[in-house]
Amino acid sequence: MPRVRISPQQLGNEIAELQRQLGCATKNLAQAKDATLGSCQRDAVCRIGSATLYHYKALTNVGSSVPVLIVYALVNRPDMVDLQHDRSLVRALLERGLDLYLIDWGYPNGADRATTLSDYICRYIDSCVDYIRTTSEQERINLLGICQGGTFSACYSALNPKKIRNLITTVTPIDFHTPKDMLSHLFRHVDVDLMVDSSGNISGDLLNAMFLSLKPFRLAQQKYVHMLDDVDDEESMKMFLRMEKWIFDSPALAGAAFREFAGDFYQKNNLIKGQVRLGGHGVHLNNIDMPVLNIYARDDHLVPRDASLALAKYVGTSDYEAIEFPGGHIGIYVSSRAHIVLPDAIQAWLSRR
Amino acid sequence: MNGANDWFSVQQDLWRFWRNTFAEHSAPKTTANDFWSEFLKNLGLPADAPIGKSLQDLSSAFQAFYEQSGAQSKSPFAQFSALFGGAPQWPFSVPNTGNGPSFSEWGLGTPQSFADLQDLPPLGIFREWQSAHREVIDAQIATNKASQALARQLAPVYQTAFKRFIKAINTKDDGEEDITSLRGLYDLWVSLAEQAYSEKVMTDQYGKVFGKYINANARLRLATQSLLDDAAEAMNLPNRREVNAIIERQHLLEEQIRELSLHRESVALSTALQNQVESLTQRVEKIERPQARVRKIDRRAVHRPGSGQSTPPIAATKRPAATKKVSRKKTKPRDSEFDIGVFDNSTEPRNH
Repeated sequence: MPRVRISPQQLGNEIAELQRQLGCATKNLAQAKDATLGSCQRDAVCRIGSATLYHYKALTNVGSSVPVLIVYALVNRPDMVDLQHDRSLVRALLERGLDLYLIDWGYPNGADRATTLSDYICRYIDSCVDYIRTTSEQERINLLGICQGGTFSACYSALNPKKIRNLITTVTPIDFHTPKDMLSHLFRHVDVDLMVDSSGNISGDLLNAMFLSLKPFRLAQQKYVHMLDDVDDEESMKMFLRMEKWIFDSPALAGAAFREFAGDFYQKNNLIKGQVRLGGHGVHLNNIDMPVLNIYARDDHLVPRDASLALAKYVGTSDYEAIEFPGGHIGIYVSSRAHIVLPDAIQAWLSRR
Repeated sequence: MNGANDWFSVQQDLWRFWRNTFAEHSAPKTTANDFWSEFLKNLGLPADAPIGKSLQDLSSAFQAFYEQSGAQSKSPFAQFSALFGGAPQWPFSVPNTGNGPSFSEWGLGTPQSFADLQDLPPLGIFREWQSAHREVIDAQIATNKASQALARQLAPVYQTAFKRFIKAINTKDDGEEDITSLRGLYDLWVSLAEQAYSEKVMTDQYGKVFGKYINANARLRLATQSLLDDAAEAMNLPNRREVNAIIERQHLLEEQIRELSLHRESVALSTALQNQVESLTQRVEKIERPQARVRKIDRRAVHRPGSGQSTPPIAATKRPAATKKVSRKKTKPRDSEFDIGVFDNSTEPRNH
């Protein structure tokens, strides 16, 4: 029996509505102009290389004396954690009394092509951690890593367990060879050295093309068709534009760091084998002896849940907890539901430790 | 009859002439000779007229060239594509027409294909220059082939998705809802296409083809860069190679500076500690002298029969051990690394 039951009347109405939406979109998009990102006030407190450490201004009385350092991925900008007033992980955490810092990696340029993962993890993160430890007078601080930043945070915690009190990873790849990992599958036969030698830094546009190619029909077509549904709502349009800006405002990846990350992590899966070396030291995940909260997204197409859940097998702590969130890789930060659920979960977990 | 009409009728005759010529000989088996015969006829000239004879000879040569090249079976685009990504046969050779040696005979012993030309070792003073150019051409050919291979991998995705789409709209399984809108139909298509795409992409074969495509593009970029670097070097201009070398040296220097800086800190620290130890030693010595007297007294007291008192050891007078809390409240954050900048003006670190 045919499934399609579209009456001529319905078809006509839909086409007319589509026409109206297209007209409206032209007008409303022009009015919305470009979008600005970020809703929380922050101070740049120190700069290391191309990276800047920001300290967010408290919104309430600080409930915890142990600061949280957010380590974002090198891919895309960290603006996603503070997209707008009502879609801001940072704001939500500040409202719950956390003292927040964030590392912004900046926009690596040609001079950064030799910057390695050791630089990012053993120098940049370490300098930021030391700065925060000093100014807050805390021996240990909390680390909150996002995506690739979570992998960095895990590596850093394994190398410096005495400086980290609690480790929180969100949508973080640990095992890079899980069956559903499309990105890893695509990278398997790429000559990473040749790629870096020919490109220097890996451009943000190339990375975006790669990410779009994981779901080309949804991300390059359907998303824009569905955008028309919200065309009458000015705020929705602005949010859509902010997301667009965030997605395509992609910094390049420093060549040397990309070489290591794609080669050692994605191709050789060396992290779980204990064969990654940073700053002259081996990274062994079983050195992670502090409490760990691992947050992953159920429908993540970039970092499959199994890739994140692998962390449980390798950490040395017995205080490990994993929380699953319905949604995709980005949705767990910016969806209206996640905006409440995620910070609640983080704050509750931290308050128990 | 005015001038405009004359002009109009001349144009009409011209168009009719060309239309007849082409329309009558657009069949696949038309030969060049037929074409020229008809062409001369349309011009009102006999086919054996002197000019016609010359044209016919020319047309025979052209026909031979045309057939040899295989051009009759390929579009210009296909020929170009074949040249750079497909069949490597070099198409330009013409057989003997009976009047002297053929082009092929003239070229006896010369490379018969583009690939053969590429395989010849470059010689002479421009050897390196030729090698660099050949690498670009090779890389271009490899890129085109890889691109075609990737396109061949992706083509069935649409077929699979379309088949599933047709099946999905014609059959309704239990629990499935009717599609009652154009949007619903579109969403179904996207969902099925994405599924078919994902299945294809996750195959080993696709992974290999994709890898080759990325690698071929990288190789082409590198080869082109090398050529440009050579050109810039020849003109005494800075190039990518030099910039890369500078960046790598700079990175190395940064590391050395950091190490030196840490070394300097540690030397300064050990000197400071040494000074502190010396100063403490002196103080202890100063303290010890009077204490020695006290001790003497105490010792006497100790030796006094019936007394349970003893002298507390000097170590017991040392300062209490440091607390676990890092006591660096008043100290400036570590900025020993040369590239760490602390924003004193914009920062008010909070103390808890």
